[in-house]
Amino acid sequence: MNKQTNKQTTLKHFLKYILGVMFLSSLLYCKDDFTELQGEESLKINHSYSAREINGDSLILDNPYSVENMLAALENIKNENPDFSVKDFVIKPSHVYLKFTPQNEEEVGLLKSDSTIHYFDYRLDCEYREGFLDTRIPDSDSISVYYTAVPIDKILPEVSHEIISELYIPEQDSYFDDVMDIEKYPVPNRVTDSKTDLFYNLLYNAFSQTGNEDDILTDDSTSTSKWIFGTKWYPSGRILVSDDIAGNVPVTGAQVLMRQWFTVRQGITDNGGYFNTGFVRGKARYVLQWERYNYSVRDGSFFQAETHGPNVKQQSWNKILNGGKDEYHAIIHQAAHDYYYGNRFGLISPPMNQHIYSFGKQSQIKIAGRLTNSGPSSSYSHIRSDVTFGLSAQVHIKDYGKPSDQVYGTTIHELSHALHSVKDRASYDNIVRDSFLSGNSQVRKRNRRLLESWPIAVETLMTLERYRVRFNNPIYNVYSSLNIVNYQYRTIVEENLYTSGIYDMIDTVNQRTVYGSGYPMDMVNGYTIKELENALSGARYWNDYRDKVKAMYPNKPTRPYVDELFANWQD
Amino acid sequence: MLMNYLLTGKIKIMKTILLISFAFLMMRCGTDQGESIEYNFSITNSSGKTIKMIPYINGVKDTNYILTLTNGDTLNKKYTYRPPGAAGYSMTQFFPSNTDYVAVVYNNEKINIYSVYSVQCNTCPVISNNSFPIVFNENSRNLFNVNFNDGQIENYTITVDDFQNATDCGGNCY
Repeated sequence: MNKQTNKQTTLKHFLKYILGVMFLSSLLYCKDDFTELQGEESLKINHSYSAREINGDSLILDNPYSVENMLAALENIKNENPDFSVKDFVIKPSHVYLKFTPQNEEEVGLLKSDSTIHYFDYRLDCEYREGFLDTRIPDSDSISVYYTAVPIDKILPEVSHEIISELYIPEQDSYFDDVMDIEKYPVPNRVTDSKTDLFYNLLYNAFSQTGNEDDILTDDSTSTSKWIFGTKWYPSGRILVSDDIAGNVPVTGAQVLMRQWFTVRQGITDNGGYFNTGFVRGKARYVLQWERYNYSVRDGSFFQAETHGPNVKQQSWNKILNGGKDEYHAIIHQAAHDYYYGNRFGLISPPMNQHIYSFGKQSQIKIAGRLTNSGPSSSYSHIRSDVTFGLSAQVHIKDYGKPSDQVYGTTIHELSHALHSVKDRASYDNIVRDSFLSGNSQVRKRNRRLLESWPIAVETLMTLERYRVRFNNPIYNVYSSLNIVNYQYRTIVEENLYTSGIYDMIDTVNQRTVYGSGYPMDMVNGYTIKELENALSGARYWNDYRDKVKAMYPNKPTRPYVDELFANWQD
Repeated sequence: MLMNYLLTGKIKIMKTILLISFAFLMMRCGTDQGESIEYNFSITNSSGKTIKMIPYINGVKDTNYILTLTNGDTLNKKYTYRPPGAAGYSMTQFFPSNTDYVAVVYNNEKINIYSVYSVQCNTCPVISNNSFPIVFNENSRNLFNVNFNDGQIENYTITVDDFQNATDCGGNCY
């Protein structure tokens, strides 16, 4: 018994040791994650409320919505209005402001499993220096912390958290549902028995006593005449991206959040890039959060990618994302969105959030939009993410500054690896292992060719769909600046691994006829990408996959030419 | 006993090293790893004449993009390939996307029209109303012949012989 316990203890120590070494190795691998971020300033808190001027990088604001502040505001109203007679109104906590500290990817997954909660990886009661959030440095080598505010009775995910503050949010209290919409409500004003008067004066008092009254006053207010902008308004707008190939085109499926302190309204851009959110009163800030339920685009390696819009009252937001991180994140988002929620030719989805696969439950896919196009290339690895407890994203895109179609195609490429990994995890892992670790170069080649030719097929199809079909450019070829003509214009000698072989079973082009000797002989056509996906199950290397395609679809007219096609590329 | 302990200890250490090495290697089992490849392509004019290179896109002449090389001039393009995607480079990179023919005009005296395509291709775009012969890519002097398009360093030199063998256009090459 003792012996067994000893063995178990030794095993535990050993596993811990291995995990430690792996973790350290991952940190070494991800060293440039940190260096790509700029700036050295650390978070400096300044508690001067009077001018709300940010001396450092950020300013934690006195929170007008805390229950304490709201109670004080109500007390002030009662003191100044001896005939106050609203009897049935009480202030009690309606929401809680929370800080979650997930310890691993599984816990982040728990947070992200409820799409009604919007998380931010920065404080909601804080004003940041312009650009600070875009250039901040991770606090430590750890999973991000997440802030949110939820109704008091909301069942919370079982993830370590602390309550920063209990809140009372009048705008979300059904007691005030029937207050009048008044474009310019004068404040302070007398309050007797009117809910409308109480509502506006409560907000005014809460905001003014915390030094935040500019947030709710109209622009023409003066120190002697003040009005609250009280009209409900519905934020809306249109988001376009300046695509290097297609021009200014709509960003579809993007999540636009309208944030007013702790109230967050959500809108999703439609096919034209238009969005609408629920109503807000007063000033609110537009935020494009590059995240949907199944995936999240990261800014660099760690933080949630966001595009920050204006903090406005009753103004729509029409934005063309042109250049820099915003354009880059928009294109990565678009590829992921098209793959998850658009036309993917009947393929299974890439890994889905909270979906239970044969190997276990999958969490939200993180796509790191790395701001580089040098060093180690773009990649997908579930192992890298698993062993770092989610610290390292599964997908890394490193095409910053490259033409939009390449960024789009690379994202599709990496997500196609991810798809392969959930289609048949055992075979996928086997292929990856032999692709890189086998001592036999022929084995490495035959595995790697299958591993990489599959995503080449999907990226070609989906990139053509975007530019040729959706944006009606019939002469577009993948990729515009590389002249590889949908991977057809590449000699056999030049590329043995990233081959067109799988795509060649779909298209009707025979490279040998078009470009002559030196190019692949391709008499095969008529397969669908779905059929070719089906054949991935159980396939462990190039010719194994070939045999599965032939066995699964024995009646295809061009089946006799499949051997010849695969033989273009030798081990 | 001591021997046994030493042996068992060594085996354990070896196992540990192997397992850690395996774990370390697994960490690097991401897709799309690979070396970058540097390409360096050039075109040199040694024909003795000033030449103009005019691309055709899907068979249509693009006069907005004409390359001019006086005798002795060299054009150079460099490219670094990084995975994912197909490695390789080609002489088409000197011209706009979808270029499929290039006319080399020698001082408006003679012309060669080189095709990206094989002579076998009967579905490829053609140049309409063209009276000059097309040099397909099987021809060893075609700019797009596989021999000038499948290495890391390629130099294509337009020679006096190329000029001699070009088609006379009687001062009406355009």
